[in-house]
Amino acid sequence: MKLLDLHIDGFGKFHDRDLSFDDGLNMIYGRNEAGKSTLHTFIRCMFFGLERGRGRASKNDCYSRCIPWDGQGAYSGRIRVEHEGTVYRIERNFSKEQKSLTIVDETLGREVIPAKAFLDEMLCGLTETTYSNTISIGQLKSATDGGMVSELRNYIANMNTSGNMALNITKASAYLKNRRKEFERRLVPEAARSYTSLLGEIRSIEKEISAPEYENQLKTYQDTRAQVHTRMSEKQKDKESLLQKIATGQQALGSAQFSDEDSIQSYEAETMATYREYQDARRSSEKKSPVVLAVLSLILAAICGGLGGVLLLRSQIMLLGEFTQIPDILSGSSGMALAAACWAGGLLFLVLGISLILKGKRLKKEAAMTCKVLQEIFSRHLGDSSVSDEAIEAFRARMEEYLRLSQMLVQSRLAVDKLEGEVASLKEQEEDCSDAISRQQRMQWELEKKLDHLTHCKDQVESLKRVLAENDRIREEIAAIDLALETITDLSSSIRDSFGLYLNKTASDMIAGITDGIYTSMSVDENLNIFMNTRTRLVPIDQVSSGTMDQVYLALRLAAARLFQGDKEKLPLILDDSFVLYDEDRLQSAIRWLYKSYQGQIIVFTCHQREAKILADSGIHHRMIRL
Amino acid sequence: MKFLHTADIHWGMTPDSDKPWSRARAQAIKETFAEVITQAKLRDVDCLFIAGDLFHRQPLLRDLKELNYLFSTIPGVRVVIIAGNHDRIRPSSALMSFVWCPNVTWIMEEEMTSVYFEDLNLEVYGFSYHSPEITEPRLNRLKAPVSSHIQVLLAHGGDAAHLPLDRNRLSEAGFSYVALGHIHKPEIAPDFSYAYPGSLEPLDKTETGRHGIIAGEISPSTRQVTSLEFVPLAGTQYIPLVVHVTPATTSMELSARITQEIENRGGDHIYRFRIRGMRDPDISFDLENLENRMQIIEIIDESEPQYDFNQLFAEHPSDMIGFYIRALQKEDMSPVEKKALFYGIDALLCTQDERS
Repeated sequence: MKLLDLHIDGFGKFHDRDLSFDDGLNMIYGRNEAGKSTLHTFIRCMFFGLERGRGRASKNDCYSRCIPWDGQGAYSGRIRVEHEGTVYRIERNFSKEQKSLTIVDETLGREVIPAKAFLDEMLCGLTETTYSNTISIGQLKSATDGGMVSELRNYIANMNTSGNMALNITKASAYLKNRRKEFERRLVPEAARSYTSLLGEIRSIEKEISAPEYENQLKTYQDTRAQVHTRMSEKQKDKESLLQKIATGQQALGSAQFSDEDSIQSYEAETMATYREYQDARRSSEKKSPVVLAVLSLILAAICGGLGGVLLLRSQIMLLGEFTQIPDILSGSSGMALAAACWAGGLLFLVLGISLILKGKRLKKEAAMTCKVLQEIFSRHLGDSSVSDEAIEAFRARMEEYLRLSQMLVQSRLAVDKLEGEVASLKEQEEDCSDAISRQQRMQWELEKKLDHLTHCKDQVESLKRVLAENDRIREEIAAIDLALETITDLSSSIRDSFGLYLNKTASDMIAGITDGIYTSMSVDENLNIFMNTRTRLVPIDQVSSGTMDQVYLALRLAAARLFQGDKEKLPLILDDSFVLYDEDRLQSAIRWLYKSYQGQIIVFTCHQREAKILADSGIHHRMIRL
Repeated sequence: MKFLHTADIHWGMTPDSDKPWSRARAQAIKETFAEVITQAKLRDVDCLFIAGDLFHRQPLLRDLKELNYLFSTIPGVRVVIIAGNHDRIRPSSALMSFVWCPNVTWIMEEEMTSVYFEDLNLEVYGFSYHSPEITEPRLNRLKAPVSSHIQVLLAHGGDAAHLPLDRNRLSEAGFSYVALGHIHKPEIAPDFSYAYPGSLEPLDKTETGRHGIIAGEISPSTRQVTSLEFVPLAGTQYIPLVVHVTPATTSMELSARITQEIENRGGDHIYRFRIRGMRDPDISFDLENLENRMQIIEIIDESEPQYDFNQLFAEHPSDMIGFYIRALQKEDMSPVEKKALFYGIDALLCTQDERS
């Protein structure tokens, strides 16, 4: 589409004004306040209408500003455009009372109905916003409105162009997922768990073997046992020698036929009694008086017997005859009585004498007997059979010895009993020690089993550490693949509703042209944040000079415009003092490039002569319109 | 007085326990220790100092018996041992009741003590670990008692958690010689006043270089160390190597180069390769086969696919690839981000190729 000419019935300062445009470059020159912006606004309003603001905003809105200054005449105009070889005339009345839009196909000479829809089609679906942000580039307004972002996004979202991209992304994702699987196969997932459980096991084994019952006290027990053993054997020796002694003593006593102290004492007592008896008997038998007495008694008995016989005889004679002169007393019966008494006395003395003789004999015999007994005793105990006081003293001393021996035996027996008890307790101790030692040995054996197991566990931990390190390495690879996948997925979804992708290449191409190759590439993200690519880094747009920034936005606008217009006929490009910030060189290259690269009508509003000069210097064909 | 000094034998350890050569490594520790005993015999030394970590763990009775046998073969050599952090003395330890042959002295005390060998005029000081750590810098304020004996200190430590020590102060502490242990890398003081023999056998991939023992001699008259040298005994080394690749390097070529490197240095060693440089993005190095065939503990592939992201971005300013690069590429990328960039670009380029 291109503008052919326009007629303003009344719009701002313009009243009944005609302008016509060339196919190529049109330069509209006017000093400040010449009405360039009004003209620019008129063109826009011809395409998109002019809506009144509501309420207080209406006071200062475009509608109010553009009301014809003369206050009378129509608030209207018309514009003629050529679109795909057909000339159309667009007529509009802006006034609120008589608002109207008419499009007439001048080639065929008929009105186009419906006008609005046709206009949209003609403008390639540009809305007022997109129009303002792309092909219509206002004064100092190279930066795009925020509204542009959503417009562009909507636009791109509706474009059905992501087929190849999706394929690419799906394939790349599948490829990455496969590689991920390969890595996952190499993972040893149970390693971490085994590692923790092994560490737990090691801790518990270590705790277990540090328990007091595993303490190695073998040496202590062995020492104790050796000590106990020595002591026990000493005691045993003592006991044996004691027993030996006891046996000897016992034998000594036994050979003396003693059994205990009492037997010795009674034996001694008996012997002593016997000795006394012996002494008595000997003493009695050695005395002369009994023998004398016995002889005397026998003599007296004989005298008495004889006297009695005599007396008896006399008495017999007297009776028979008084033959003898015998005292009266001896006469007769009294003589007989006397005789009897004499005989009785004689008998008495006889008996006495005999008994005395018998007694003497008995005593002698007794003495001999006790002597014999004593001799026997002494010869047995003293080895000498002589019976004497010395012997009996020796005997008593000997008996004393026996007594002592016997007492000693008793004591020894007690000592032996005690030793036996001690030995038994030592033996017990030794056995305890042996038990403890065997327990210790068993514990040590158990401990060594545990230590072996511990070593095994630790070795496993070491190798698991390596497995874990390998796992970590693999996980890093997997994390990298995940990041790659995530990035690709993110990009694909953000690209799907972004235009950056489509905009980038076009804008990059353009920026190279506009900047004469200073910048060759730019990136635009989905929020229209712009970065300049340099060899080394991405430079955010706000870090470049404002002149460059203007160029960049110009490039972006043109790229967006190209994007919207696609392959359709190009819309006119309207630049309203867009080059104000450009220096001469930059302006020159921008204008040349624009002329060369924009295949459509270009309308440049300017308040400077320099654009015209550049065009003249460059020999670019253009139409100059002065307001 | 001639002596050998070793430490950190870690008897009973199984290094690289998940690798096929781990048993051989465990055996090598024992064999090299037996070699130390042989050396003691051959060199006709008076003393063998073992400065801690003779065992990797609490020793078992059978370990003690094994070692006691070895010590019994050198009855003329005084063997003085202290316990380190690994074989620290626990109440349950079999050491508590073990009877060593007469030439072996294990200083079991937790506090500094000494043993005196009259015929050598030698007093050996030391103490054993009873706890896993000793953070108190007990050696730094230590001074050798005034004495006319040759004074040797055995100590195990040297890092923050195990007897932090100031080497200068140790040199000036007045001992004829300080036999240290715990640090697995050999180190000899310039004035011969102390030395770390390092671990007898290298015990993991970080313990590179040669490993062995220290052999020295102390003059009985000056009571100074007159000679001190490191004697390599361990046969196997861990050797770290860096292989540089270029985009022209292929997997086979790299494999051949690594094989060649190993053959040049000997197949008994254990290798650790780091691959650096830029590789062809289409090639991924598959060296698993190599790892199975040789004693290679790990191959760390740090090579990066050679993408020219600027070039790529210029070629694809407005499609997924360009967007992807823009989304991820920045200064100071984390390794994951870097890899994500490679993976994504690889995927996009591959699938793009498929599409075209």
